[in-house]
This record gives sequence, structure tokens and C-alpha cells, in this order.
Amino acid sequence: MLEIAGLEVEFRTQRGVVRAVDGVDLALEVGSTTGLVGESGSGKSVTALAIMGLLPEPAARVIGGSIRLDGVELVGMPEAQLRRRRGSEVAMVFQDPMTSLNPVMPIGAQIVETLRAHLRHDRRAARRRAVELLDFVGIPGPSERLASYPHQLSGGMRQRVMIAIAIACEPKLLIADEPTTALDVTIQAQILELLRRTVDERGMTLLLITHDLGVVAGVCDRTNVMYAGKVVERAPTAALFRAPSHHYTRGLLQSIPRLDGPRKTILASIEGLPPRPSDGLRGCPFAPRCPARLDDRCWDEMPPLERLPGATAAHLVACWNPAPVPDERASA
Amino acid sequence: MSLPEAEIGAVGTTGGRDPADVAPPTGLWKDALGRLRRDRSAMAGLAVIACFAFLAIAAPLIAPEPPSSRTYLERLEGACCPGPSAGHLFGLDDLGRDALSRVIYGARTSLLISVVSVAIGLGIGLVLGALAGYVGGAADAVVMRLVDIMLAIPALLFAIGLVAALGPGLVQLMVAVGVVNVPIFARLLRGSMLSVRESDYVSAARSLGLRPARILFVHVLPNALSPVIVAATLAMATAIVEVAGLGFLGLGNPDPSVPEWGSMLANTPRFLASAPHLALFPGIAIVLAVLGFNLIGDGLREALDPKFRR
Repeated sequence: MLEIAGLEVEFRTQRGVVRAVDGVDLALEVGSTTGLVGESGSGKSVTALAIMGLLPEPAARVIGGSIRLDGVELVGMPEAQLRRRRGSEVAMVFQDPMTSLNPVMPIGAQIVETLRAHLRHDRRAARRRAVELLDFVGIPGPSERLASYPHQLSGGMRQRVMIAIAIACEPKLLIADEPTTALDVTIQAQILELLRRTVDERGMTLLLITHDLGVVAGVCDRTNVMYAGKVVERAPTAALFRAPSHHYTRGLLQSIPRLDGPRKTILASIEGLPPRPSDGLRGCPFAPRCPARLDDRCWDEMPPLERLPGATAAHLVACWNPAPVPDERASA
Repeated sequence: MSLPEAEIGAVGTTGGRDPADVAPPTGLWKDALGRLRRDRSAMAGLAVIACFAFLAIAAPLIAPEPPSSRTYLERLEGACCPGPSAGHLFGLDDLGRDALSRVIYGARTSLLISVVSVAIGLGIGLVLGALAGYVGGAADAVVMRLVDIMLAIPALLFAIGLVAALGPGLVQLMVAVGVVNVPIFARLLRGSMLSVRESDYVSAARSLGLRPARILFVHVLPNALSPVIVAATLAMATAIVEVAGLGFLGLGNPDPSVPEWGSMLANTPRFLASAPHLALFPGIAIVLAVLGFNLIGDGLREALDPKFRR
């Protein structure tokens, strides 16, 4: 339902032009949940903003590629048409629920406002629907809560309200940009469960953006790993965790602390820093940090995102020297 | 300030008899009011201003004499001017008018000037500030250079120039004092709108496909107004002093039958040695009113400060 092909986004900064998203392809099927994983600056949030048509223009703009939602091209669409689609076809849940709600407006009014922006609800119907939505996202006493102001709710409650607002007009695509990063661990699990349930029960498609592989493991069917503006590995989530083959993905997974290991081990880290987008590398952007790089090829030529030898057709990796898929029988 | 209240009303009234509607909504403004009520000095300031407002409204009932009654001219007997006595608590002025009555009636003019001039300044300043802060680009550049030019001229000099250009009169006085405040309000609103415009809840509102006008009036402006409200309260104090200053320079209210504290002060230097009471009482009235507005303004500043929000 969402097809992104060759998306390129540039930021014009004082130090020159920076390509934040560099040829990203992404295809989301109806009802799927897709993870977009990467560290800060890898281009994942910029990709989301590009889908929403909310890039901070004129500093940032799409310079190439296409974004199609149900076959309709969003790149270059006039702002008025984009605005009508925002909220009704694509909606977004932001990272920090503490700052994403208007502090001087009751939450009920914020839901009603969104409903009335897109649907022809009268006030009474909109209010009834707001109560349903709050009930759906698990706010106790929803009709009492309509008059509450954001500061009267906890962080987890506010994120539930944000989700209620985002799904108010039944968008087809829900983008969640780091929806749990600002929350306590126990609350994180609840919010992820809510997102899962929302997508399942309402038949929505979810694009979940996070830096946390644990979050992806719990929610997403498929996972894309981004590095320096490019998708470097894409696979069904289970396959990715079983056989991470890009060395960046492997590094990420190795740096997650394990419950079953000895407690005093030092966490593994990936040496070095990600390239600055302005460095202008010719080859693989991970080459400077890669433990398995090949001397000439990795520096000179960007590897294409291709099917990983020995894996399923759905497992793609952009690496000249990917880690081999472990033998199923040996590991079992 | 009325926007959030309107939204409370909207949610409250649509639900009919739902018992949930009685849930106490305490928004930013109600919160701030609650904090203001616990602020003793702000309440003292409010009490002072309330007293003056009462004097101004009920002047004909309270004042012992009409403001320009010269009934006691014969009592002057060549010597100016009799000081406070049982019959005339604040004494008589050089034309034999009861000074107490004139101070009471003066509250009308002085408060009216401060409120109206601030309203004029606020009206123009908010439009300019919103234009600069929300539209941005060329509008921002033009408005802010205009504001810079206005700020480059000292406030009193600017007001003198305006009164000189507009001619004498109460309305002209209000316009002059008001326009002086325009750059201050415009600059403040622009600054706070720039930060609110980048806030997450405005991004969220944009991501929901709300209309730009709605985002401006419902999401940006109500959140950007609090520093301007504080400044407006403080500007009322400044306006009283400025009007007094203009009066002192002979550019005040030209109609002697309408007493005004600044003009009353302006008349006194000639008699300062023989009749200091003529300067004392309007002076005290000005100090009290300015103090009152300042106390309210400082209280509002603290009450609206996000640091104190829970």
C-alpha cells in the first residue's frame, strides 16, 4: 500500500548540502508492521517526515524518488491535498508524549478537533467518538477524561491519547516515530502492545521507527536496518535476528546486553563513528568501521541491496562480504 | 485568553447531562489563576488597582465636590494654597478646587488612559508580532526592521513627537502612549511564537492535517501569549508614568475641567514651596497605581511561568 522507490532527501546547511536519505526503497503491504531501525542521523525520521510531507522546507527537500500511497504519488503533491491526506490516510505518533499535546487544550477537544478536520461529524457525534477512542486505547473513565488537560495525565496515558488522536480518522497507515523512547520500560511494553492491537483490530499498516532492536523484535513482521541514509539489511524479523548478515546489524545485536550471560562482561560496541553525511563516501558507508571489509571493493563501490546467498528470498542485504547464514541443523 | 475557555465550554456543553462533565478542568489559565490567588503581593496589587477602579467608577458618589468646582476661590484670599484641613482633606489648589475630589476624578482619566493605550499598543503589536512570527520570511524582515526603528527612538521622545504631530487631546495622548508600546509587544510575541511554532504539539497538529489558520489561532497563539500578557500589565504602570511625564511637559490632557494625575503634578512646581500637598497627593496616587500594576505583573509572570507548572 505504501511504496517508496529511490527516495533521496537533501538538507541544505551552512556547511553545504547533506544527503540525509540516499536512495531508500521500501514497500509496505496492507496490514503489515514494518520496523525501520537505525541510530540517530541514519535518516529514519527524515524518511517518515517525507512520507508525511512535513519536511522542514526550504532547508530540506525531496530531490529524487517517489512515495506512493495506494498508487497515488505523494512527492510533489500540492500542500492543500497533502494536508487533507494527513490525519485521514496517514497519521503519525511522535516520540515525546510530554510535549506533543497542546498544554492549554483539554484532550477531548484535541481529539474532536482532528475528527472535525476530516470527517463531517457534528459536535455530539465527535464527542461520542472521542470517548470510544479513549476507551479503545485503554484510558479508564474515558468520558470523565475528555475534560482533562495533558499535564493531568502520566506519560504513558498521554502516549495513549496521542495514539487515540492519530487513529481518530482511521488512517490506513500509522507511522510511529520512536513511540516508546521517552517512556519507562514497563510502560513501553504496554504502548507497544497497544500499537500491535490497534493495527490488528483496525486493519491498519504500521511503520515503526526506532533505534531499539528489542522494540522491533516484539512488534514488527519485517525489519529494515538503516545506516547513513541507506537501507543496509531487510528481512522478516525472525530471520534477521537468527541470521544477521550485515556487519552493522551484527554489531547492533551484539551490543544488546543479555539476561543469560555473565553479569560483568563489558558490552560489545561498534568501533568508530558513523560517517558524517557530508563526508561524501564513494563506497559502503560502513566500510570504515566494518570488521569484514574487503580492501578495494568496499571502499570504492556501494553494494546493492540484494538477496542474501543461502537465505530466503525475503532476506536482502547490502554488503560485499555478508556474514554467512548459520546452518539450521547445526544450530538446532 | 478566551480560546482555551471556549474549548472547555465546547466539550462541556456538547455532552448534555453526562455526569462526566462536572470533572474539574484545570487548564493553564485556571492553574495560573490558582497560583496567582496564593501570591500575596499580587493580590495586594490587585486590591490597590481594584480600589482605584472603584474610585474611578464611583467618583461622583464619593468625591465631596465636582472636579472643577471653584466654590472655595474666595478662601484663597490671595495666599496659595490652603493645606489639608477637616473640610478639605487634601487641601485646595491654586484655583480653589478641592484637591481630594480632583485626585478621585483623576483616577478615571489616568486609569482610562493606561488601559486604552495598552489596548491600542497590544492590538497593533499583536498583529505585527503574529505576522512576523508566523508568516516569517519577507514579512518578518519588514516588520522587525520597522520595530527596530521604533525601538531606536527613546520612548518619551517618541511619545512627545507623536503628540506634537497628532495635536493635543485625550485620544491623541492614548494613541501616542500606546504606539510606543507596539515594538515591545510585537517583538515579544514574535519571539515566543517562533519557539512555539517549533514545538512538538504544533508538529503533531500539522501531522493531523489541521488547517493553518486553526493551528495559528488554537495551537500557537494561546501558548505564545503569556509573556505578552505579563508585559501588558507592566506596560499599564509605564503608561501612567508616561502620561504624567507628558502632562509635566505640557503635552498632557488639555482640558482643565478633566483632572488627570500627571497634569495635576505638572501644575505644582510654582507652588511647591508654599503648597507641597498639591504635588504630594497626585504623586502618591501615581506611585500606588504603578506599584499595583507592577505587583500584578510580577505575580502573573510567576504564575504563567512553565517552571511552576506541575
